[in-house]
Amino acid sequence: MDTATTTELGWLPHFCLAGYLLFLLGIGLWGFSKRKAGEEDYYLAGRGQGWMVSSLTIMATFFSSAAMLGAPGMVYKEGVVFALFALNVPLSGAMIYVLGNRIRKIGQTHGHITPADLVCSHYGSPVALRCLVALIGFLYAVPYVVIQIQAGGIISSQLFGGEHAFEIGACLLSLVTMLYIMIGGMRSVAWTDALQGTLLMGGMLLAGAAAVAALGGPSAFFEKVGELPRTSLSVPGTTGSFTPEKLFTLCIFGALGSMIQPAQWMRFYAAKSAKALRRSAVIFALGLTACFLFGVMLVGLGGQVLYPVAKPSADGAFEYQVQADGQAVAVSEAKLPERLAEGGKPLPHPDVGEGPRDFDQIMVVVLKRHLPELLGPAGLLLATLVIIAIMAAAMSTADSNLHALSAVLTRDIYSGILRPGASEKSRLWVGRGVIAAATLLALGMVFVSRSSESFNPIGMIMPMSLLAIAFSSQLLPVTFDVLFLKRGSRQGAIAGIVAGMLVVLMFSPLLTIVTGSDSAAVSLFARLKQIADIGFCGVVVNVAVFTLLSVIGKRTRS
Amino acid sequence: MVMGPGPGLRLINPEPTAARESLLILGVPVIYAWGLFWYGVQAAVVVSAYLTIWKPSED
Repeated sequence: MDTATTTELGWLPHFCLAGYLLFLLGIGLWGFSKRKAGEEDYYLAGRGQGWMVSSLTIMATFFSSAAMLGAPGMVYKEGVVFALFALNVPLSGAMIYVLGNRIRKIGQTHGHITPADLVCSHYGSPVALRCLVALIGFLYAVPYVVIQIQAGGIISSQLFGGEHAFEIGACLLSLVTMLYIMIGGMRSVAWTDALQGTLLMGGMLLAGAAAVAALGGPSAFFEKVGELPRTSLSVPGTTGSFTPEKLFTLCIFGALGSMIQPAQWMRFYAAKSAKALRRSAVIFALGLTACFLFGVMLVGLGGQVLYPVAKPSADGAFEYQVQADGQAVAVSEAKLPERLAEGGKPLPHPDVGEGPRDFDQIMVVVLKRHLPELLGPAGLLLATLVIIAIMAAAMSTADSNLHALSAVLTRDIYSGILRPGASEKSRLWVGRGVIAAATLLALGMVFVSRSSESFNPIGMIMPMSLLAIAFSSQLLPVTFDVLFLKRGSRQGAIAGIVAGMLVVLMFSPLLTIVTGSDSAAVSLFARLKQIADIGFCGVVVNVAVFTLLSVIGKRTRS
Repeated sequence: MVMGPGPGLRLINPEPTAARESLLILGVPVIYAWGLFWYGVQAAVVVSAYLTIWKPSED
């Protein structure tokens, strides 16, 4: 197949995208018309969400551009091993009921709105713990919003081309999302999420079907996949990053960390009943995993066939393109681990992108080029719809996180600490200001990262998402203690969270910025990262400190 | 979780020197087939929990 052939999508995406964005703004206005006075209505839609809206908004919040672009990008880069990451989704689904229903019950009884409300009322820590829980919310939400905006830019540059397509797409996604949250609050966010959740589930399955069809149907698809390099079909993958132990910790903490982040926590509060969460759990566990395994993961695998990352050489071995010292060099399969250990980064096929982070573009490239070729005008329409579904995935996660961040900073920091007597009206306006400020901050980070050669903290979508989840995972020990064990102390909770967050920070790009890329600390944490998930490392330290201080505190008191 | 995406993978992961046929089962990559099997197991566990452990009486 001639992979260089490009089928232009014409003006159809422009019209569809414009219609979609206007529809979202319409839902924002509808949410505004249904509003009732008060914070509880703005942040939790009056705690009245039924199972249908609950399940769709929880799914849409969970499924971000990391699922639609990042996951197929990782399968395209690493091979079939990353498809197993989908097995974290059923565990996440179970947590919707196991953790979510307890959170909902306590929240409804005591009128909680943010995660810190529940944690702080349990431990009786009005300032320190509240600040820490809010900080975790901030460290989760901001990177997540940043990568959604980046995804908006990627889609736009792939769809429309041109010099400033990335910037226009990123700005448009940010602006529309910011507007409908500010106008309608949780009601608008939940209903737009419901629409976006439906769109993205359909889009994921359609994308998988497109990749299979592009290779001539299921038999031909797997026949060609079977000819891929050995590393693409086995564990630990092309770069050797995904050992079973690492994948295991990644799945556990990916599942748990993403379910106790502020936006999901607030969705548990907003659910009307246990039934809403019970049904949401089953729909989530069964439906979303299927969308992953039979949808986007197949795009990554098909992408390896359509746009090979490794070319067979004369002796039958494969040869990869690796970026080393800013230059692209050909590296044989046998020498790949050595080159990667020296800091080399694998490169995608030139038709997909030119840089190491362009693996994320495989989804849009496959859809844009192959669906119209296969189905003509119908394929054009379907490709446009799936690309809009990717935009939906990015927007639904960005809106939920911006909305949750607004609640966290307003309720936990502004009215919880800075101005305890602030009126409800002023709190709501501060909340809207937070949404605007956070959107601009995230947009600024995307532009700085894109324009700077030396400062690029964002990188590929999936690693950035996993870092954000690692931060939110630091709430796990206190969450389990508050909901089930009830044996920890305030000092233990504070010290545990601080220790866990420090460990996660050591794995973040911050360490490279502070100590330089060739420092001993950076190489030590890079080696640790190869062994286990970042969140897991943080939680191990977190639990140890939490337990130790809780036990010491108990003995001292007795 | 231990068996699907975890250390259980070592049971079926082909050795680096194994024949190329060992990478596939019924024409499908063995790692992918393993993932589908454990998805089935996880789905059965969640549905069973929904029907038996998660009590409707909590409503």
